[in-house]
Amino acid sequence: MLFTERERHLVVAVFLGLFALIYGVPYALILAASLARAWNGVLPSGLTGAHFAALAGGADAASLSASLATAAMASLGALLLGLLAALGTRGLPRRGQAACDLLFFAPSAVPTVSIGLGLLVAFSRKPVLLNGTIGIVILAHLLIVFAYAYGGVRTGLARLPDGIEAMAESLGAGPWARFRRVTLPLLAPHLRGAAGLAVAMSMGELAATAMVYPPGWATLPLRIFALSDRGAVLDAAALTVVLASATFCVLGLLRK
Amino acid sequence: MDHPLPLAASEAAVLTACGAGLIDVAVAFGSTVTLDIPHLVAARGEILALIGPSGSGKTTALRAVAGFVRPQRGRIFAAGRDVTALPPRARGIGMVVQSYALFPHLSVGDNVAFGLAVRGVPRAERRQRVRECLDLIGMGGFETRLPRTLSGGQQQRVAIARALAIRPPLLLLDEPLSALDAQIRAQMVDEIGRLHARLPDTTILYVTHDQAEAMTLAHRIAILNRGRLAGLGSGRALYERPPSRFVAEFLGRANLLPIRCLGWDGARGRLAVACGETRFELATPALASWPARMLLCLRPHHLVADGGAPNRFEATLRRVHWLGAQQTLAVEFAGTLLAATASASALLPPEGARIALGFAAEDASLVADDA
Amino acid sequence: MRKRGAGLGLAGPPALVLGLTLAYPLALILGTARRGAGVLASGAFLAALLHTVAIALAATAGAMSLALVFALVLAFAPFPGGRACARVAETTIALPSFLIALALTFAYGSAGVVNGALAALFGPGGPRVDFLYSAWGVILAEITIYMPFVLRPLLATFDAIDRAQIEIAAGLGAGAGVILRRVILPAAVPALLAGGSLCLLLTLNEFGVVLFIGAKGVITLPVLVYDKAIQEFDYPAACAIASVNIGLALALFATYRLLLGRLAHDAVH
Repeated sequence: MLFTERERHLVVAVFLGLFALIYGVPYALILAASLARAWNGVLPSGLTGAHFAALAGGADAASLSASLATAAMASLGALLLGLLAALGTRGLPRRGQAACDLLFFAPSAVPTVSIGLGLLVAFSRKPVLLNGTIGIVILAHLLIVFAYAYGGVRTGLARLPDGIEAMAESLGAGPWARFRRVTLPLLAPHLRGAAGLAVAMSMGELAATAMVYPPGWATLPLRIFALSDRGAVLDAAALTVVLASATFCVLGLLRK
Repeated sequence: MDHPLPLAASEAAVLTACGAGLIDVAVAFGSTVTLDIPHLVAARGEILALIGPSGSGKTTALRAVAGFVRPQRGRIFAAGRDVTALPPRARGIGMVVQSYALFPHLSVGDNVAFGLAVRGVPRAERRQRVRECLDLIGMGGFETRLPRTLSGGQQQRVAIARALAIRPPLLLLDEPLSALDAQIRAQMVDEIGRLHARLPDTTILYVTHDQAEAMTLAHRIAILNRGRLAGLGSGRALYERPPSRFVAEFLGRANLLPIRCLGWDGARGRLAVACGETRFELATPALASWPARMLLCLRPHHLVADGGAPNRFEATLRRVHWLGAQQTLAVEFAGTLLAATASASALLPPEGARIALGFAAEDASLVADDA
Repeated sequence: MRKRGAGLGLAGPPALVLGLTLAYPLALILGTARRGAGVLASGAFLAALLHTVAIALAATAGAMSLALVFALVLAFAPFPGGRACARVAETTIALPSFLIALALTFAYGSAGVVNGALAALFGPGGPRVDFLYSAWGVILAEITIYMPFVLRPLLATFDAIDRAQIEIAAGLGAGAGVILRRVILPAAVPALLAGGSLCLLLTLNEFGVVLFIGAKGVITLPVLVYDKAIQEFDYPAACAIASVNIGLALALFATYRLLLGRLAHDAVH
């Protein structure tokens, strides 16, 4: 429409080249590195599954379970709080709604390092001593993913079919029956989407975790950084592939 | 909410037998009054249509009865009960809306069973009632289908079945057929008529913008304008004797001519009026006094070329449209364009020539010039 | 019409949690910052501030340009598999940001593919391509990571442009360039601004990429906060730097929400 046929072919060719360079190459290289026996020349020399086999026990396996547990708990908490916040503030007049949005989306704007720093400063002293516990990691992740959970629920609520809840009410459903039988089922796809996003964010979180994690609760990103910092980049690549796969598995399960 | 005035005993007795009622109801959003109805009562088993231009408050009135709009003042009655203080879910009213509002995640059967399920009706009875209601509207066998697999007409049938499943004494229909195309709409009008014949005790409030639907279905029509009741009566009465200029112009086409009243001939029951220099005689009921400014309301099909009626006058023929069964004319009289009718076979003078027109004394009515 | 009293009550618990675990700690950071305010005059801080803003601006400009090009091709020169490409790019959002940084070290690092190839061609010698270990490396990684945040709203905007508009413009004699300037780009401005300001916010706060690339001399505010707090245990200084970082981010966030509100308002009216 905008281009002649010849221009179109040229434009598409340039696009594909650029796309492959920017998005294809990185993913391919990570995957190749995770399977490389050694990589000193242009191409890796030989394939091996040794990097993955080495992950099976010890610190790497522990970091996977730490990541999954943190992501699950933080996402669940954020989703619950996000659901309450979105349900509570809907139906407000436009200005009130905008003010609440500003408040509930703000956590996503605070630099994650500062979220970690704030938790350290606030909860390293009495009366609430969280520093050095797993709880502080989960709390940090919860704060980081909260806005995404809230946003997901809010979008879902805004897209409820017009008058559908009023109809349930006129048919005799009380507030709880209306929520359980109509609102929640219609919200479910959005809740699953928000949960997926929250889990993905949490699984990849590095900055706040680096600030607050206690010994024995190093998440996958921390472990990957430690490996790469130590020069074990092929092992780091393998663990990154594990992290990406785990994230996609959770996303797939939630999308089902 | 202001405390409503106590009702007179006789009025209270009438209301306990009513199908639906709005007594001294006012609804305002912010400072704008959107509804102000002193008295509107539907009898048990009556179909009362609410019509009016958009923004006239007809849907607001319906939502006030359903309980989704809280009136600032007044009382709402449903099936003889004062439901003013009740939430929507406790009113037991069936409701059907333009968008159907079927629950997209529930099957047809579960949609119809919804009201029964939240009332805790046992499963076996629920199934029985669902089947009955779906059979009633010709949707038997669709229980397991999802709403999105149905056509618009079918979805609206399911919405009606869902409203009927709770056996409501009062059914509110808010533009139920507006989303359907013309052919299916005509079919559904008949269907709703048949349905009411099988459930004669069910009161129906029917909001529509389609006058034909209202005329076909309703026992009485309430015409709303700017939140106020502009007319109430049978379709025929409102059409033939419109109570106001607004009703005359809103319901069908009307020719309105300003007139002066000359005198009342009690013996013949005729009122003499003059429009400019032309005198007419009208058959109107006697009234103590006549407002100063009156309009003569003539429906186009009552104003006939060469009608041989007593009230004759000459006008200039401007345009003729031949429509098969009849011809419609645009004529100019006393500076006003009027719509008139002639039989298909009538021989008419050329456009621009003078033409004789007439109407019967019984076919004209007078309305106050309230605009 | 809805009973608001009961509704707003539901928002109480989340507001309380956010207040106690986010607002209160941030207030403590601000309070502590006064004791460490001296660091704000230091060369390290000023360099980090400069780096942070420069990298964020450059990465945002790059992401906006790249997204614009990609969206134009995907929307107006559609080809089979094009939308799949968009989805591949979007999965980057779901993956940790440092993944791209790690991948870039395999491609352009001192022991990466490019330098390996150059060494094979021209004989051994120090890394011939070493831009990765400068601000440019960080910028390249951030462009890759944050481009999808601009691409998504841009594609939505372009898909919503009535194709008849373009056909009519062409019928009136406008060439591709004129159509682009007069019809398509004006429609893209709101999405570009909204996506761009989100991009700017995220790049200002980026931590993982800078840490992984580990370029000497490229320290940004978040990394400096981490260094002060975790490496040097100098909490007052960390708090002072964090306060500046938070202030910057929240100001940008308010601008972004304002833009979004304006966008939604325009869409309605």
